[in-house]
Amino acid sequence: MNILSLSFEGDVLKYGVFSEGGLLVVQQGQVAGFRTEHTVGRTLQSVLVRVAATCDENISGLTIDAIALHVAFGGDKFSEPVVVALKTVECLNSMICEAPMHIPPLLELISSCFRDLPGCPVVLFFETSFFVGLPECERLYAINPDLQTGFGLRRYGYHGIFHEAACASLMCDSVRSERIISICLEPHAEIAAVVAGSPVMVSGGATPLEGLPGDTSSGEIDSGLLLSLSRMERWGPEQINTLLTQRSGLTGLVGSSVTLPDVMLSEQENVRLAREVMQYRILRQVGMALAAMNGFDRIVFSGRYARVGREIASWLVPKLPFSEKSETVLWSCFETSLMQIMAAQTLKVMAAVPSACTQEM
Amino acid sequence: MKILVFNCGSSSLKYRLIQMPDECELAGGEAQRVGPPTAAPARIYHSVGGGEPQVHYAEMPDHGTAFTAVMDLLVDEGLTCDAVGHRVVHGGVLFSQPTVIDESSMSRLEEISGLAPLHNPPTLNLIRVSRKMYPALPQVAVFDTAFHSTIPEKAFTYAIPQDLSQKYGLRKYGFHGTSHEFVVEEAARMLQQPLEQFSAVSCHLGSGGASLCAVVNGKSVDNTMGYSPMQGLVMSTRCGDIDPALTLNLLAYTQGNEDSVENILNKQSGVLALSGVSGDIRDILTLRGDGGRASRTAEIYLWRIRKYLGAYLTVVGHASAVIFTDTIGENIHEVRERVCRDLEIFGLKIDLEKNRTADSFPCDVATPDSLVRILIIRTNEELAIARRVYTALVSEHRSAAR
Repeated sequence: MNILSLSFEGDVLKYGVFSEGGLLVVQQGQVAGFRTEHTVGRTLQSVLVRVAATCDENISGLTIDAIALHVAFGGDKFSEPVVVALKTVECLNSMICEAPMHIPPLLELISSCFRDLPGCPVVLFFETSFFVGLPECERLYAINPDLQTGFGLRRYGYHGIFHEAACASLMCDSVRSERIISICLEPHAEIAAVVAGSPVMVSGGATPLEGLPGDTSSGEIDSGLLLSLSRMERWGPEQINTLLTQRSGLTGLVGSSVTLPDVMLSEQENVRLAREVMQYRILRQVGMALAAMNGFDRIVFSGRYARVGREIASWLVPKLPFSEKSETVLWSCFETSLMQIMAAQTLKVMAAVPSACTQEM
Repeated sequence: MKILVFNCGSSSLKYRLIQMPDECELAGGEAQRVGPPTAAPARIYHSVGGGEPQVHYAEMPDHGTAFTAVMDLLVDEGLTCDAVGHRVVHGGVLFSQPTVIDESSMSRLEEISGLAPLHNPPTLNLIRVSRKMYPALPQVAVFDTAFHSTIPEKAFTYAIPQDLSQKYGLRKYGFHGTSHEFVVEEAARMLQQPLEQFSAVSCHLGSGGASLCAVVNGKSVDNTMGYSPMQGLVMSTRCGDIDPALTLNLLAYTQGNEDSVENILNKQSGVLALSGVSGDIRDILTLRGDGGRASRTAEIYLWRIRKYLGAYLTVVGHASAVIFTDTIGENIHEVRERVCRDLEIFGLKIDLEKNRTADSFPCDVATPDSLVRILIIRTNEELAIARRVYTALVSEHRSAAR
């Protein structure tokens, strides 16, 4: 059984082909330009050509048995992965105004998959699913629920796929893992407090902008500051949004393009402030997680920069209040990639859903 | 030295005449409903020597006229003062110390007046009138942001391009500093610990604004409010923390009308927006039978305080105390109970009975085996200001004599 995992990131379509239940990586890569140069359909065709070309050399007769698509935003409607059926597409269509950057290319990708790989089931994995049932006290903002803001006024969290898989990976250990601090180290880092598999607190917000600083995104910021910027620079909301999402975060603090590992694993003076700000914000969010769970059993680091967790644990763990426990069992790094997590999950999702529904398309 | 302290609210003016250094209150009171006419007439509750307050009615269309009305009452009692202290909410980066007001400091104050649009302009109005009427009296501004000038760079920095931050002073300032500083000093004294070794989390929970302050070795190291008083906790009508994208979307929907967005986030959000009926958490805690909306509102309000309490206890490391102060913090035992319970991980144990019956302050409502004391301390911003004014004038006098 071969699974093709696909994920949009910026202007790039990333892909990976996995066999043996997602355990074996057959091929991985990316094709750029789906927003700027080609259509999503053409981009997918390039991916399939590359997959076929490589497979001819290495594995004869490779077929794709299922496709796993990564979806950044699923709103309140998708609380778990789904095999795409007609009603799924209708539902996604109704959500375009909530995620205008994400949903249209996704819909295009789904129809391209059905065109180019007919009969192949498509499974959607939503980053927000894990957080649909977040407790109300954590979920809601203290603003008028009837305000017109263009999207649902609630907190989500944007790395649910990593948090869920990382927490699940701890469940097989013999060590007690009832209360987990899950730290996802991606370009938008995110911290969640997870009790018995369900999140009770998360640093992400209504969008991925809230919470910790990212590689280029600001994280939490005072509303009054944004209003002052609007007044003083005469910038419109779009310009401020570009500032906060593309020129801020660790990159804004350093003054040149950097990533989380560049900052956290370096002793250089020019990244000192960025490193200290990031460490401090992590510490504060972890303190919130501790309050949300009245303690913790384990910390797990995940995401593409999961390895940075070793450095973070070295200064973070000694600062935390905990009972007599060996430090070595307190934290771990879950280094499986997003594409591989989705591939591994795809089989489980398909086993739970009758395949007939894919034919409705 | 008799120091007259003024504390300007957006529609009120508190004042106290205090004999320093013995800290004896000679007179005090509060002018209410200052500003445009409201349903009830503007009035001053005035008391002398700690006696029962008497009500006096006067036209007070702005804080300058309220000041004149208060001065008239004092003169009628034969009371005079040697110096005036003013609470100024926002000192920006220009003021981190109590400052004797002269022409140059006055123009710098005017410069930063926009940083606290609700509070700084009425205060400036009052200072102007008072300087004109009493040119010989020394006047000292004491800043709410001053106590937070020790917040380290890692905590006051927003993750935005640093050239922009520097150009406009975009950083965390923190507020309620005068109150936090006062209760922290009182707490250290109460626990007989040297201030410079005293670490705590101070919870200033007012009926309007509210903030938590992390204190290490007697100094502020973080405050839940930020560049403006909008950030942090859920407040009476202020939103506290929200996703930056929500603010930007509101700006887009109002066609870039910053005043309108500020009005929504400052005056129509918080407890008022969540409950739909009242911005006062005391009303919400006692409200029943509204389909659970009130209890949900209370949960959200309390949850945010708990999260920040956890964050700051972690930042501080070994806190000696959690301090509750101001209207809600001092008087509402349910808030203290629901904030402190189930936080044993931080060594915090509240004695429910002691907490419920606490009525004389300061007091400690932690259980004997709690590793962190839970203190209720009545804040006294006017006394704190009088202390700063006194110190500033005495040291100025000394340096002038040298």
